Amino acid sequence: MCGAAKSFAAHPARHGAGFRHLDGDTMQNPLTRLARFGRATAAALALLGVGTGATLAEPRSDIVVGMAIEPAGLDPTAAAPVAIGQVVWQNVFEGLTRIDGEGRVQPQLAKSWTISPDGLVYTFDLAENVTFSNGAPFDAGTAKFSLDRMRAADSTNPQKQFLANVVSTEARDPRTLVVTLSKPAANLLFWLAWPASVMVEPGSAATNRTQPVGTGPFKLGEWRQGDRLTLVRNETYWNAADAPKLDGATFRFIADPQAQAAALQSGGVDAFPEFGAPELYAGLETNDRFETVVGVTELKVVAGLNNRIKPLDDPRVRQALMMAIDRASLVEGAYSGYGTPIGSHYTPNDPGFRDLTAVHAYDPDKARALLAQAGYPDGFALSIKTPQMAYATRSAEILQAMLAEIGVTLTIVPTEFPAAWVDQVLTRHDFEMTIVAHAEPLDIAIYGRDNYYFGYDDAEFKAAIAAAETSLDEEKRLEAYGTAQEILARDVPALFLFVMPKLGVWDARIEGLWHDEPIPANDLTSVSWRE
Amino acid sequence: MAALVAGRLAGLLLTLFLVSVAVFAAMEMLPGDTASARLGTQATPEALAALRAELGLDRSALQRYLGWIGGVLTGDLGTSFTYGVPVAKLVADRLAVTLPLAGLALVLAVMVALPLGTLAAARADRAPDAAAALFAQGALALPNFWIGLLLILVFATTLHWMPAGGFPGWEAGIGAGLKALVMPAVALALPQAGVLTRVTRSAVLDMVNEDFVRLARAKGLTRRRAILRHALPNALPTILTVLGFQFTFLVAGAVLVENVFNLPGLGSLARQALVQRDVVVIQDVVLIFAALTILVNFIVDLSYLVLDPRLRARR
Repeated sequence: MCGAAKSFAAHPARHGAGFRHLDGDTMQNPLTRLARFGRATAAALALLGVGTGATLAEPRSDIVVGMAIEPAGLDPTAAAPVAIGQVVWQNVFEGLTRIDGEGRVQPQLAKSWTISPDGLVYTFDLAENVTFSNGAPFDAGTAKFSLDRMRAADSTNPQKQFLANVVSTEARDPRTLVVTLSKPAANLLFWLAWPASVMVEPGSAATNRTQPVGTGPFKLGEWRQGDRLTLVRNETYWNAADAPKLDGATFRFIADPQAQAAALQSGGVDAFPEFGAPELYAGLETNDRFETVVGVTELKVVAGLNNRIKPLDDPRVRQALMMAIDRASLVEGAYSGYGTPIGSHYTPNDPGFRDLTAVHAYDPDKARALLAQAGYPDGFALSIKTPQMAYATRSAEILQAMLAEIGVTLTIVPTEFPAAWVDQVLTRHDFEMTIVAHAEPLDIAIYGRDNYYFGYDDAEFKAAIAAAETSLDEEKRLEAYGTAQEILARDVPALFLFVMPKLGVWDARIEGLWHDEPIPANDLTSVSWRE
Repeated sequence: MAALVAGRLAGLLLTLFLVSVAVFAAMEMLPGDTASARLGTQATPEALAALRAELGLDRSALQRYLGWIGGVLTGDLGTSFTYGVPVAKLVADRLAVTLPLAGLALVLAVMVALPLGTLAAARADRAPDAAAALFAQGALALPNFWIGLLLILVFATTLHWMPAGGFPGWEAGIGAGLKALVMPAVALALPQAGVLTRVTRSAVLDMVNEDFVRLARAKGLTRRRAILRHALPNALPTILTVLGFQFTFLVAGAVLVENVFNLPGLGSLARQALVQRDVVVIQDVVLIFAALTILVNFIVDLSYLVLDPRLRARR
């Protein structure tokens, strides 16, 4: 499609048989008076409770999307919560590259690129005639500004480390951006596709939190904090080939799962791409009005262990804990059976995935023997700092029951997420065990981060990650990621539990929503209604 | 009257000052801050430090308190850490939902409870009294959010008569706004109506046994007229006192019902601000709650003067 052969090195086809559905793009005929009359009549009849059979209604040109969590601000370059990207990424903001619904890296504002043989110089050929929604032009100078802002010393970008290897950025001419690295970064094109790496322009960068200005197909209509946010079509959108089919969209923020279901049932919300309550999902699956799609996400639920303290500093103890867990039963109890057990900090979508659930498979007898070997024949007591989210509390209760089988007494300590959890667990390492879903795609490298909360420090693992992140050879890169996965599965710095599903549910007439979530997003560009 | 207002005003300011110190201190004691809430699992020490510097969280507690309270005194409620918009706008938007909702719930509760409670007192220990007691106990036993869920199930998801939740905004029309508030108001009103029925009954009943009501009866008034003209008016101060408490409860305590109906009210703002450690918002909201409570009690006190000529004469 473009660029050098290595263009898509970052993410080869994920779960190969990526199901692509047909685009219903034949609904462009103008809204005629007749149809309008027909729609009004149909609506009136519907109000009167009269079944109209085949209606004359035009397909709708708007959509109401439900989300459980409201974004905190609308600038993905300034804060980490995934809800921000789920509203603005691809809809309002675009990046040099993007990630598609199947998890592949695709060109976006960079039409193509070449990479020097030593992997240190990236030359991006940028798209032409691109403007931001406020009229400001996008060129190599803007791209340089965005990247420099992200990597600046005082940057508060949550993914600042993505550009840690960048030594210089240069706008060679308005259409050419050159990025020079100190050492190869195999994931650079993937990282540039993230919400945190989107392109912004100097005139509006400071106010993007409340008034986001991007190059995307939509722009902000109105944000009524605490309730809803509307997007309207960006009439000056540059990419005619990828122009949105909808005129606008509304995001409604509904935290309560019962209220989510009620909003869907009553038609107040058309789609819940990430429905919050697995226990209510089965009821929606049987309703013909809705299409339900259980997709995969990048959300890895792991029970982090504090590797700094006794007895968790002993790998045998951690392995015993892992072998006490029956992951399939856990998924059944905590997430109504939706979800995929994992054996390492890696999802089946990630490049070079290896299924390592068998490394420390469920075996309570072996677990007890291993504990005895480590000097704990009678088990020990442990506390788990548990966030309030339903998946976390339910999982913790099941872990408690399973660990009791090998003599480990687990005390559940409710810990408010995110503020208290970040303070106690992440910052002060004041915990023994905890449980949380890690949302960032391909974030296995956190186990190599100095002083991260697990307190896991393994030279072999760090070497594997370094090899994976700097390898210019795709095969070696995947091999290195495989090694990294295996080291984690062997050492068990955290109990690897399951990948959360994406419980998608939407009006059966809607097409074009993502089935999977290779990166947290609600890309509405190709969404449309069929007759 | 002037002395009463002046005394109240001084009390108001002192109370607000104490509340501001208390809420600020409470926020200080909470683990974590808005920087940690915003960065989540990506919070590295460097990122936390950079964000804290940007938000001014690296200043001393005294500096931050003075900065906040100084702004409030000059009419500037500050800017929300989470949303990046002025707190005054956030609060005004939420009050536009919460105050009408609380008002509507209170009107509904009074419309049910006053007649029912009076009737129960008038027919004490007879069938109407038993029925009123049954209603009051039933309404009290049902949690308001559960009533809300039931209403949604029946009128929104099954019959499709009502919206399942959300608020279209007053600019969508008074009718649409009220329609969105009716079911939550009913859910909020029922338990309150239960309380108020019991209070009305016992307040009126107390008066029924007073000499002046007996005198009115002896004078030849029917029992019905004696209660409506003499017992009920004298019971009103008691009822109003309870109503004042109920109104402040409905403003501050509607959060569960707001959650069920997905209403952007003040309670849900306070809750979300707490989760996000948006301390400026929490502090402002608590101050407003406190001011509102004091104001409502003041209005209740004033209404005693209106209702009771004896109090006016004494002054």
